[in-house]
Amino acid sequence: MQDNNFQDCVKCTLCTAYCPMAAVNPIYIGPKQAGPDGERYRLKDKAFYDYALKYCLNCKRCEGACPSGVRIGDIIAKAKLESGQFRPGLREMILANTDIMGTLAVPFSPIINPVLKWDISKKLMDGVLGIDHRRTFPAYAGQTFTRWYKKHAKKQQDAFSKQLYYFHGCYANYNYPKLGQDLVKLMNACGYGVQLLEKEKCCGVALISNGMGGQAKRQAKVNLASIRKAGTTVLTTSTTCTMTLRDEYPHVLGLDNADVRDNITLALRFLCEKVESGEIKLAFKSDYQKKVAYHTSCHAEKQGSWIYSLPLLRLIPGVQLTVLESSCCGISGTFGFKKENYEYSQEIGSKLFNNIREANPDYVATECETCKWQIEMSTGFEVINPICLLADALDVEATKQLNQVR
Amino acid sequence: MKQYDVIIIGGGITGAGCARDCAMRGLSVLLLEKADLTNGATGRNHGLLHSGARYAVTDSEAAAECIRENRTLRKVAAHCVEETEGLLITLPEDDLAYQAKFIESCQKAGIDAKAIDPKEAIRMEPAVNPDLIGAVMVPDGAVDPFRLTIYNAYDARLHGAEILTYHEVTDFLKDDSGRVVGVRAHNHIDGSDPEFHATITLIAGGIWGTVLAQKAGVNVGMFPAKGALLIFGHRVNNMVINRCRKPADADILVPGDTICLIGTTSTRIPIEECDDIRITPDEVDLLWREGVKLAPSLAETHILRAYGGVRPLVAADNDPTGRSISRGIVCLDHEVRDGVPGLVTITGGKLMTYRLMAEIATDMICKKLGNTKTCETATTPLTGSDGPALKTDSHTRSSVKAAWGRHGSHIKDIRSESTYETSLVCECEEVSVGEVKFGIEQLEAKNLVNLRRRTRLGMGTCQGEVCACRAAGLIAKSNACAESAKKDLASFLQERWKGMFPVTWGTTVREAQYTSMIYQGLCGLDQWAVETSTTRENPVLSKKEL
Amino acid sequence: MKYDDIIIGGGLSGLLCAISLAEKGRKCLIISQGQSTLNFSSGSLEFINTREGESFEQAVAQLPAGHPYQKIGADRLTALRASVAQLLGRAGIDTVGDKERNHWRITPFGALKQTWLSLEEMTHFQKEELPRRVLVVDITGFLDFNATFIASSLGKMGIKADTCEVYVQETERLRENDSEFRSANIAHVLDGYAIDRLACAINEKAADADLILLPAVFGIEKDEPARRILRMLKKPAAFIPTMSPSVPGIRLQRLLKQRFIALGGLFINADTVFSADVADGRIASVHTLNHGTTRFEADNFIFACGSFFSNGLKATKDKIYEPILGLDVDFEGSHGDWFNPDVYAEQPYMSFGVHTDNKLRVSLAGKTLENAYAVGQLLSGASPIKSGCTGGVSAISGVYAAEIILNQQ
Repeated sequence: MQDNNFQDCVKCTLCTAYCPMAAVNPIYIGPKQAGPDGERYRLKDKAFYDYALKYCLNCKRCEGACPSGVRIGDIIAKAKLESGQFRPGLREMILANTDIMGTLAVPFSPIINPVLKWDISKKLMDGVLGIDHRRTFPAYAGQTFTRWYKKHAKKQQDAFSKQLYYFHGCYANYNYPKLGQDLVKLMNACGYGVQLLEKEKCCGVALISNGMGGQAKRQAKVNLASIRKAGTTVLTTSTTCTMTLRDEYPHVLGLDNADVRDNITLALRFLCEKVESGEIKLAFKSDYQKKVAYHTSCHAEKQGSWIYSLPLLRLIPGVQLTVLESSCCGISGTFGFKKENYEYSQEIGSKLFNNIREANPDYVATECETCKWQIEMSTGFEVINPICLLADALDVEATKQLNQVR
Repeated sequence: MKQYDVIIIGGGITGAGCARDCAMRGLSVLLLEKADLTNGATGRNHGLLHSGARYAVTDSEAAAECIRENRTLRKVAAHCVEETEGLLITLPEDDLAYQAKFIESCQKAGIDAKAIDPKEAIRMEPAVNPDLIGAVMVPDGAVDPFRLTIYNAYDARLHGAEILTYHEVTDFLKDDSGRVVGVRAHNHIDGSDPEFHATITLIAGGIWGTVLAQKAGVNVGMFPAKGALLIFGHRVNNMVINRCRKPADADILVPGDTICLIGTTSTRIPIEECDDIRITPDEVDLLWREGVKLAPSLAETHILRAYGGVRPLVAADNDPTGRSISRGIVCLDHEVRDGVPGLVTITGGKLMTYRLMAEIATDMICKKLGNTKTCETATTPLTGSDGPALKTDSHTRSSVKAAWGRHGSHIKDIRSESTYETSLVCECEEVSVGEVKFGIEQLEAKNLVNLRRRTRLGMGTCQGEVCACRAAGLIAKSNACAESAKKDLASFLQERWKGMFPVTWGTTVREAQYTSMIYQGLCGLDQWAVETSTTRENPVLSKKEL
Repeated sequence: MKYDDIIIGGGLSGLLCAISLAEKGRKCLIISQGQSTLNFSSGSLEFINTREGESFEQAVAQLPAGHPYQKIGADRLTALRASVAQLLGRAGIDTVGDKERNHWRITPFGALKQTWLSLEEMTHFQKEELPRRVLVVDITGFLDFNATFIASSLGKMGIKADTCEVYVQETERLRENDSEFRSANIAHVLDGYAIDRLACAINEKAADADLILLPAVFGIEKDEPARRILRMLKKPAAFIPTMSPSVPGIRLQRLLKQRFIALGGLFINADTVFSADVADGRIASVHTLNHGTTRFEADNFIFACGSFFSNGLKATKDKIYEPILGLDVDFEGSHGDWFNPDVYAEQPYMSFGVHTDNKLRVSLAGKTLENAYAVGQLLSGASPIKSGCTGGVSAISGVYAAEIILNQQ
């Protein structure tokens, strides 16, 4: 039986008013036409598929706007996957296979990182692959998070009486191991051991948006099996991975995860709840002084997860917090890397960039890695995951004492 | 004063078909319709392109007629027909033995019916009730009755016929010998009462024709049987699904354009009620309950509206249910039958056999007029159905794809040169500014309801909330009649509500409240609400402003 | 997670209630299911329709006993009206409106409608101040605003009304697709452009007018772009709302939400409260679909979930119910009685809503919940569209519920 969710649309057009893409790109037919309206026609005849669906950012702001609970973004994502009109090329393969690319790149990062910055390689990628030359590629780390973990952290974890799992995702693993390391530092200080899943694959979000549904589904099954096996809380640090694991698996890939959905949670939510209930206590350095602007990434907005980030950041005495108006940065994962999307990407983000410049913070805090790339490239302000901010500001010894960690 | 060969009374499918046939044979034709084309029974039925299978067991003659016309319409009215094919399913509560008898009867009538494995049926039509124990595939399809009628009328006009809507025949003109020589009609647009003269007057007014015929001193016994239907918001099924049993209530689910509909019931009603069909809660319940048996997902599907029509059946006996009455075609030469020369009635029949009915009536008229030209409607495609299929890809604007489905080769007449003309007015049904203009200028839409029938504007899931005011604006612009356009808009929303309120729950309550918020709360449209008469659903824009 | 107050619903009533509470330092969480009907706003809040010469007080006195205004009490309403206007002002929303009597606004169809509090830049008149000669500006090919509709109605009232069409080059690019030439998208484009040429074109045609009427497609995020065009026009000008979405409505929603967040409030969007824990006549906590196992606890819960449109109420063939807790609902009869076949007549379903006592506290199976309130369109007893009290009921009940909560502390 088909999913009838699209029929709850009452044609109020609010999704279109809040769609960042429709506001800048006149080729895009807007979430209402692309989603529930188009779906009605596609049910009649698949030939009604419109190529402009490729401009959907999957930011889900339409779903946030919809007063009818229509999962507009999911409908569009599904239609793209099912259309069969979405043939990934070499560029899509490269951009979407974040874990394969990461595995290949990390050992050669001292060579690759500078090469990625050369004008000539940017021009080459632009001309041959269609990856925009104005785009700065995220640097690869010298060592993956998992490698660091095995070398430096794994052994100590078993000593903790309370144990958690961590789905690190591609970004923490290949690009920014410090995020994973900071999570381990934080959780250890609070008395929790951090374990990795038996097998972890890329969550698949980039595969879904680049039309590789089959592979996304295979990877999702591996992840779900590992999460089931873990049998307890699995922490995440990326809002996008979290949304994919929790919501896209059932809604877009058709994989039932109801039994484990609630086990998958952003580390920030876990921490915030435990701090609230008094099970975890945090102590911060007295000399940590930062002006922080919090940016609600699209998927933090969709999941409402920023309600956990803000109270935690407000706990740090030296943090002066501004909350930026929630708006899309424009990159949408791999979308903004594509040559034909660059201008749209930057125009969408311009409002956010202005707001950041106006706030003039030491850090922009956000849980989304691709927002980080986009904001850093476009504004020059440093972007930090709230987990890292908490870890940097943490008084580790005092925290250990408060939580009676030896 | 102009003298016509033939005046046709009634702008349903029969009248429009007759107008086309007569015009194609070179007769001068005037068609008079009291409201809009398709306003009567034509616009209020299933839109099923019968294979005839439904009648095979009980009425093999009607079945044979159906399948012949089915094959003809696929050829000559391709843009009004969707070749979906149909399933007749046997559910556990039905008698499977009926299936063999059914197939045998179909074969006798020349209908290609073959039993298929229930699993195969589920594969072909995933929406079908998976509990089915038997399935037969038959060449059923869907036909859009609005499109079919409007394009028959359009074709007739292209052949020189005159079509006057909102002209209600009030009386017959007779000469001293008692011969009918024309009619007097009331013009609902300007209030005048002109007379029209013709050698032959043909009554093709369905159930309303009966009442009218009495004025000529002629009695045609008609049997008005009300049939109720429910329209769902989107297509659940892509094949027609029937029950393989003796025809009963609510046993056909037809996919039609973007929607699907379940029907019907059959209830005898007094002739006075024919103009104001109301759907009762019991009918809604029955349709819904039986529909869910055909396709279980209907239980979770948004019901757009409930509506009903009147079957114009010729009374033959006193069976109160109406189902056993022959649906055969009745063509009456009142000169012979009643001693009233110059008057002919064509009635009975079905949407499916309209072309044959037109052929029979036109043959009779031609014989009377000494015209020897033969009928060509079985071989000459209807205008719009005479072009090659549109080539599209994912870059083709969906409004173009949708409009091609509605207007066939006339898509060339829909302006799309500017981005303004391709802008959507109706977003549910993808009707562009160009198509609205085509509807107003070429298909002679005189108000929003007319436009709906010609384009599907306002037939989608929001029932006009988004598009009605845009379209009213376009009509106002094209006819310089802002105040009337607002009245028309107010009536249009009232007409949409008439079909909605019997099924207002779930999403429909939300839609209704939203529409009220916008049109009454924000805009104050209630100030333009006019008392709508029960006999006509929409006021006609006044001539001065037109 | 523990809060002082949890507000379910982020529309006008929920936001005004939450802002009132947050302004007094309370820790508030709004859980919203999506955008609210504020996004369709006319740019005005109505209080109640009055007859010629009638005061608000006299009109309220004639309302049925179950009407939210009657529950709140006529003596409180004057002060509450003032509170609402001040509260909006603190959120950066400047309004005009007399405390005691209605003014008029011009609707998108050119009708005059009574209203209480209008955004400064929208049309607002006393009858004696109606202009004599106006120019109604149309944007070429914009289907959701119809200058002719407006002009023809004004003409019938004896106002000399001309229309003019201005071609806005900057927005033409929106037409590259078939559907998105909408008010909100037009505003997004216009707000980012220099609009000198547009202003010039209008000025050229407005020589004889004493008032210019413009479609409200300026200032979707801030009011500055709306003020800018008014400044650039040489004649007095005002905005008339377009068909939805409403640009001034979207701005209102945005400014109120920003105000709430600036006060430290937290706002969950696009989530659904699906259950609540009730013990000893109080709600202890609620759960949402997105946050699964998380218990959202609070001292007070405010149901600001709206009517049917916002899914605050649901209707089936047999019953009307409140979907979160199954709160007691005031409704009568069976399906056949809920709807009037005349769409323009009083529709009984519009006045259905959650049952409350005079403190707006809701009840469950006949027992009042001590710490749970209903506000806004969820309340029973009003026929908001017919009696012209939609915005008033929402705003005033929201602020009133906050007052009750604050008074208890």
